[in-house]
Amino acid sequence: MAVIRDVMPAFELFQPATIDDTMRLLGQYREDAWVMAGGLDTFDWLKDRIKRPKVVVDLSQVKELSGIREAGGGLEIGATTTLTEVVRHPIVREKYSILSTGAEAAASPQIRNQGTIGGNVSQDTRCWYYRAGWPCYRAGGNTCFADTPTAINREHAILGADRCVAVNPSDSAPALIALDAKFVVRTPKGERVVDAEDYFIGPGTDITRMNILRPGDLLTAIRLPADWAGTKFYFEKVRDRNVWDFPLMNVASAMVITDGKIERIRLALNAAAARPLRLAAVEDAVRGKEPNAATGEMAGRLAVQGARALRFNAYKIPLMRNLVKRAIGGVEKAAWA
Amino acid sequence: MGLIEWATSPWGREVPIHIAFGLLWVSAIGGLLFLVVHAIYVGYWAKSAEAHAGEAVGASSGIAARVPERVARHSFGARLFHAVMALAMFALLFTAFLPKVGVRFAWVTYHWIAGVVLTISVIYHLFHATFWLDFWSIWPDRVDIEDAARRFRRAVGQAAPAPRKFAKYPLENKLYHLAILCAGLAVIGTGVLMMSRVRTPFLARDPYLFGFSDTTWGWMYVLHGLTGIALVALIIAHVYFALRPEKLFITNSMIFGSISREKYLEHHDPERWPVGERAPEAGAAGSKSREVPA
Amino acid sequence: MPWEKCEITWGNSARNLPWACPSGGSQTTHAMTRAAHAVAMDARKKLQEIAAKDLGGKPEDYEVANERVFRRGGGPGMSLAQAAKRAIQLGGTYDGHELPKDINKFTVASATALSGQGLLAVAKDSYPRDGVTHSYVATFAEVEVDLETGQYRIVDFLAYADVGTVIHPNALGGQILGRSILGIGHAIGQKWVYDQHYGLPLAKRFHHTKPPTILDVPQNMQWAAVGIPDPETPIGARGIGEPPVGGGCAAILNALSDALGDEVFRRAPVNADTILASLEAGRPMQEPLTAHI
Repeated sequence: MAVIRDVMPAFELFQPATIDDTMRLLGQYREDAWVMAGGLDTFDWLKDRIKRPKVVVDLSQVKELSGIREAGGGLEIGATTTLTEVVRHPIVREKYSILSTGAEAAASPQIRNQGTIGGNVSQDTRCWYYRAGWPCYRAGGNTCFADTPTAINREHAILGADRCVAVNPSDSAPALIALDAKFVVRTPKGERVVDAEDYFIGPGTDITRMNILRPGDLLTAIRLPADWAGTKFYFEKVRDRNVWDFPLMNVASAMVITDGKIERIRLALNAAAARPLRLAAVEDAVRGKEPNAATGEMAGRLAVQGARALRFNAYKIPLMRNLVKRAIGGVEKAAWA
Repeated sequence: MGLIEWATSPWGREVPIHIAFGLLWVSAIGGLLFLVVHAIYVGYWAKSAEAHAGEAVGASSGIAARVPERVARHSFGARLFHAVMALAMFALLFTAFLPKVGVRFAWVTYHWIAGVVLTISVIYHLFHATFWLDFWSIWPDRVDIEDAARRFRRAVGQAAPAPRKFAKYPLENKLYHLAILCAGLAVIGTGVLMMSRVRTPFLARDPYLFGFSDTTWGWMYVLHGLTGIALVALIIAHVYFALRPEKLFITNSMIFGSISREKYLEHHDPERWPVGERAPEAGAAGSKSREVPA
Repeated sequence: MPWEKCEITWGNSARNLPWACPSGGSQTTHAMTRAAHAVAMDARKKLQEIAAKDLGGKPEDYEVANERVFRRGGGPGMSLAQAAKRAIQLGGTYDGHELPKDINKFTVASATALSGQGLLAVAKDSYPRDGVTHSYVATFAEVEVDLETGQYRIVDFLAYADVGTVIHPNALGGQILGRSILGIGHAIGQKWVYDQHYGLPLAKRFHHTKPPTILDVPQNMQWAAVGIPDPETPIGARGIGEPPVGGGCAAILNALSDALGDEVFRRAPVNADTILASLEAGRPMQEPLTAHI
């Protein structure tokens, strides 16, 4: 198999300076256009010759897409704002610290300096069968190579699998869902604002896409409403190494506790399914209960209902149970500590 | 537009993946075009041919007297099979092709369940038709071929003896059954094998279970796809014929089980499709409508 | 001899430097210091002989120090530069025109090319040695395992090395800790992954092999050396290239085994998946020795 790697293939590069120009280019080239934000994921795909766009639209010159500003009592984060900017922003740190924690859990400092929040939430799955360029469902083929009796799949899905068992790798996505963020998407028909959890789609809906963006669409901003600012947050990411690694699983919760009871809660989790999961059933079950270990145990058991293990990822079921438990009841101190 | 989509297998070989789904439109438009052309043909052109139909040999009044008012055509079991098969087929086609035309939903589970229903119903039909029904009544015979030739010669203005009336099933019916049989068996055969590649309660999901190569699997998907879109055209045609006014009595018989004595005498040859004196009442469930062998 | 007056020339055949032994097998320090010692002894012997020839007395009456060779207990002497000049005048073995018979033919070529430029010391390491030479490391690790997530931290780590005489403490510390981290990497993450049906590699990117990062190294990491000279070499020093790898890996795995029980894993690397799956099931959930998943 003669595969040329690590040399940039030929493509036409556009570097528009405004959103309008970007939309015109995306409208003109549709499926042939590749939208590049930070470029952290793009270059692997291109150099591996697995994705072969004719046109690359680089968003780095679109000033309107970058930066954080206060809006509507909350914040509006431009899609190409770097993760480092998000992590360091004083209002994010003060009121939306779950997002700074989540974004800081992603990748490595160098990658966060270049990688964008829009890219982090929109990145493709890391399934190595898919990334190896194998003709899997997600690549338009007719097989899932990751769900076979001989597959190597410890990173893959326990929930929401539909032929494809890939997972979404974003660390900021669950934090954004917990904050009830709104994603602003520009389409050829106009602007569309969707709830964070509805930005992502599973393989049952469309096996070749991770989110609602179609050719010609552009994620322009993410809005953080005031509703969940400064509430009680929990974020945890479990991974093989402490930096520069994708999550084995992560969890994010925002809670409002009144008189010792959970009054409001939003709970999200990622790397368990092809889309970040908002655990609405668990939210319903724990509302009005005390945020303690017992409630957490119950929530954890509820969360993993329907989970199904592959050859090597059975650990994700107890992991999810325990992360949900912690997101609600907190972390228990070790007996000897 | 290519007919087949190709991809590079893990070992670097070019393998077929599935049909180009644009073919769906070819099939759907082909089915609709056939419908339009046929409707025009029947409406204007075939009128003159119909004028000769009266020449066909009539049934003797003696036979007519023996024919009950309602002639049983499809037993309850046969009608039940047809209904179940039709429902499964529609479910299969909609779950297969709606996502391809932009209606997104998690279709795989519905698709394989409908596939299992279709498979079971077809197995039932095979046994039922082989051991309880008149197996040969649905296959074209010598008379059908001769009459088809006669009709064709008359249609193009040549002299030919009048075609005889039909046996239990008109030739179109038999040919349609043959087409559905081929497409259905191909789509079921490939579909059953493909079930090893999705999650079902029957087997652990294992795309390598049968040891087929990537290429073999690819062709299987192509065959499944091709027969799938062929079924779209076939079913468009089938629904069209079922709704045509002159065929409604046949459609009704697939629902209620029988046709009227008049329709029987008008369209069918009592010698080729003899009916007994003790034929059941119209629409009777648990029918005893076993055909009397000729 | 002050450093400023030393000219260090790295391996360069254009300057007629001889071949040195390769760096490997954790034998480099041992082999190179012995050879260097043999040559240094040859240089001293030649300096003493030159001094005795010119200034009288026996060679062993002279000692070499402070850039000079001089008569023990005070008396006449000469600078090393003067001795070198005399070596050229004397020729023969002193400036490399006559070479020992037992040296490597590459060394012969090199010494021949360099001859006549000063005092040339050429010698073969013919010191006796009984058996083989190995260094040893005793490694200790303490881990803290999170039983709910399967993640663990290495809270304390000590590698105690037996390397004979410590020549350069900073370099030795770097060697021991650096190589220990490689071993820790084997225990906590490094792997390659192949699909078992197609036999093709899946882990194709550097991040797939998960070398340990600076945030994965033990929170407290120390080294020490016993410092007992090795009697089988005149310098007393031994190499310590690879031994800390095994120690680092085994210490982490043993600490994990101690924390979790012997029935949780029988392979490396050990990650959250191995730990949680086995704890959940109450028995080992991965085939022994099945690595690379």
